[in-house]
Amino acid sequence: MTVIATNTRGPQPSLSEASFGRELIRFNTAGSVDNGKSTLIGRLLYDSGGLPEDVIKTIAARSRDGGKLNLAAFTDGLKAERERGITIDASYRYFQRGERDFIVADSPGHFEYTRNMLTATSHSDATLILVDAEHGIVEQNRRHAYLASMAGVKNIAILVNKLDLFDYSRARFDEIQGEFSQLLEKLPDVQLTYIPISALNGENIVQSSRFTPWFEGPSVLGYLEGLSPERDVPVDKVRAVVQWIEREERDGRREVVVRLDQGSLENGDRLRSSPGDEEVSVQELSVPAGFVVRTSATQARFQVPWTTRLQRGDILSRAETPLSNMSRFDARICWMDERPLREGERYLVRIGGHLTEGTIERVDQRVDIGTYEHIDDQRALTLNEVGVVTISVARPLAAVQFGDDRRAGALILIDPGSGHTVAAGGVLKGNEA
Amino acid sequence: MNHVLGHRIGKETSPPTLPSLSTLDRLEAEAFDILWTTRAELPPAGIMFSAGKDSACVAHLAEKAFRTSSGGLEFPFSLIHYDSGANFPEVLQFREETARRLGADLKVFHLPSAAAEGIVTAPINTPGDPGNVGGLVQLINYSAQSLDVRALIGGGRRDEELVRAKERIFSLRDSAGRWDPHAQRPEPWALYNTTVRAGEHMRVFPISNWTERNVWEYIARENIALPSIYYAHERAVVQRNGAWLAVFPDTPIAPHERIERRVVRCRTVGDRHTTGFIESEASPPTEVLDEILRARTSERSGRVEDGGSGTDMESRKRLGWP
Ligand SMILES: Nc1nc2c(ncn2[C@@H]2O[C@H](COP(=O)(O)OP(=O)(O)O)[C@@H](O)[C@H]2O)c(=O)[nH]1
Repeated sequence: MTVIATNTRGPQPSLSEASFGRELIRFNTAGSVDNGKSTLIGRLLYDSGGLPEDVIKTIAARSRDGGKLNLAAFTDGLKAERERGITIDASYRYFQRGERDFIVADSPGHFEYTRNMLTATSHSDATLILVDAEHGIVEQNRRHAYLASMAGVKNIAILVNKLDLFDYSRARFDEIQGEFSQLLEKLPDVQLTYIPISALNGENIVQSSRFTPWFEGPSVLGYLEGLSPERDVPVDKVRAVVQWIEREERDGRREVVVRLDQGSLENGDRLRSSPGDEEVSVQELSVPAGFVVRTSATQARFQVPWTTRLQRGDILSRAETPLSNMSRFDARICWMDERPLREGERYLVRIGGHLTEGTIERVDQRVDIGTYEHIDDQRALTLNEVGVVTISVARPLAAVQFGDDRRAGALILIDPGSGHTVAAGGVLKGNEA
Repeated sequence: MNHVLGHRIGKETSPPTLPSLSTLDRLEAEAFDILWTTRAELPPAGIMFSAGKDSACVAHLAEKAFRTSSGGLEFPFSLIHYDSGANFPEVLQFREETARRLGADLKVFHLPSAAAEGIVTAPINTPGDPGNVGGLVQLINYSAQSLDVRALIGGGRRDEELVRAKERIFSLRDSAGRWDPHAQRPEPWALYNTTVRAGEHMRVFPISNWTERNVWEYIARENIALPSIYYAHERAVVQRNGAWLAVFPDTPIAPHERIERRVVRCRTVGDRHTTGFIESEASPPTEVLDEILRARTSERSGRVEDGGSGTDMESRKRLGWP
């Protein structure tokens, strides 16, 4: 189906708007095939005025129906996708509006691409799940909501799409919301928002629709503009990951470079490393120009004694609240390889900044991501299956739970033979080393 | 609560929170992480340094990620230039200056010489292939083999083009330099898989998630030097396929074409025979930024080599195009 799109470009932005203080929001769309994901993204890109004219021309030329614009064609970049008319791999698009920059990933709907969906959603501040009002909630909707939550996304919006086919009926919207919310309430720590839309006609996408006077919530763009980016975290907690240790010696000291994922630092702060268990005092803190000494900058450098045992990947936290170490842990993972999981075999484990060897000791449970039930089923996980497993690692690592920090508590498994990334997930619980 | 200059102050709620990072800080942090990982896990690595604005940004990010607070710099990557033999003199000058300033090892792979030596066998400078695509692909693959690098770092961005939009940040190439779009490794939570086996190498794209606008904002914020042709200057040009092309003594001019002097600048630099200029008065980076905000066409449209056709890019990339 093709669309005649209307262009509601706002006034020209001025340089003052190009200030360097804008914020970035990353989100992804999800839903089953033909729920309208690509149409929605095309709508957002087009109606927010973020598309260059020659791109529109290329797309228009590609639209099957000649002169009319096929909004979905903005995202399907690969040949095989255009031939099969579906989205296989996540595609990233960029637009900006006012004080916000947006990166949107259009993720695939088919079950066979579940792993790509998990990947796309793992970077997101929010996930938009499209439900087709005509078909109601389908298996893929349930799965995608689960995967978003598993990926650590705290904001999930359910967009009830194609409501134009029901004359924007409140009853249909309420029915779908009622049914879905029963299941979604099982997801821990998630903010849910329901929005009635027509991606095709642009209703409740950028502006509030006059067809849904009964709806008091935001439009999709309004929702996105109201989100607060990931970094709103407490000041008092420190989570600094060692990136680099300079080899050059200066007065018996050398410089360590950290990525400050959480908290802030100042000179004199006492930190403790995990897994190395070394105490360091922050000295001669230096941060990129533009930041004062106490810093929430992403890169910070400070001096440590020359003899330090700190290593790349070590995590520094406040000495009063050190992290413990783990050499074995429970993890919830999604299997991503054609070749099923093999218990007892060696994999490379990347967890936070560490890369080490490990073994999946056993599969403890399988998760039905359509019902969110944990099933006592210890058979090997196969492609796209989610389960809880016990992993042991060759050397101890900082014990960080994924629920506390999705950056440091996330992991991937790599098959050293094929080089494939075979699984991804998060640490549920670490066992003392 | 005022921890940071030039940033919004955290909300006055309890417990107190830090102000969120700006877009540029978040993008910069992502790039640092990618460069540190490359340095630690994929040495030796080189930056594919075209001396254009995107690769200048990448070189600057690497400098910033590795310069110590006392000012020392052991630049960890070589700078690799694929020289088409038809560069703007300003670009060559900038290439030399940058390598000198960073103390980086500059490796130049000269396309016409490689063709003369039989390293590159694809025809170069043929009509219909004005970007020397076949030849450059061979040259890039040859460079990866001969330098024995495990990673080539590039300035590719996902917003440039629809196929690029799908590519991973750590993107594997087989021993012939080929890319397989359907066997890409997932990169959840920015956990990169840097495994390369014998003969393979990685292409690494630290500014994948930057837009053209972000690049110019960063150039302005960080005061990054660029070749002068990015900024308004007067030069002899001729109108061809809707763009202004620079006129050199060896530029063939058709009888109906008229050479004019115009104030122009380029949006991307490439081969001096095909790089399109736009009429522009914009000179400092902030003016360029302002102009981009008003621009209605994407930057690749300035190149004669492709009309932004997504599929062509896919075929090229499969063969080893960066
Ligand atoms: N009636 C109606 N059709 C829609 C709406 N949104 C999308 N569609 C149609 O649904 C079909 C699938 O849309 P598409 O965006 O390709 O779905 P995707 O597979 O989820 O990306 C296309 O024919 C669209 O035109 C809507 O709001 N109302």
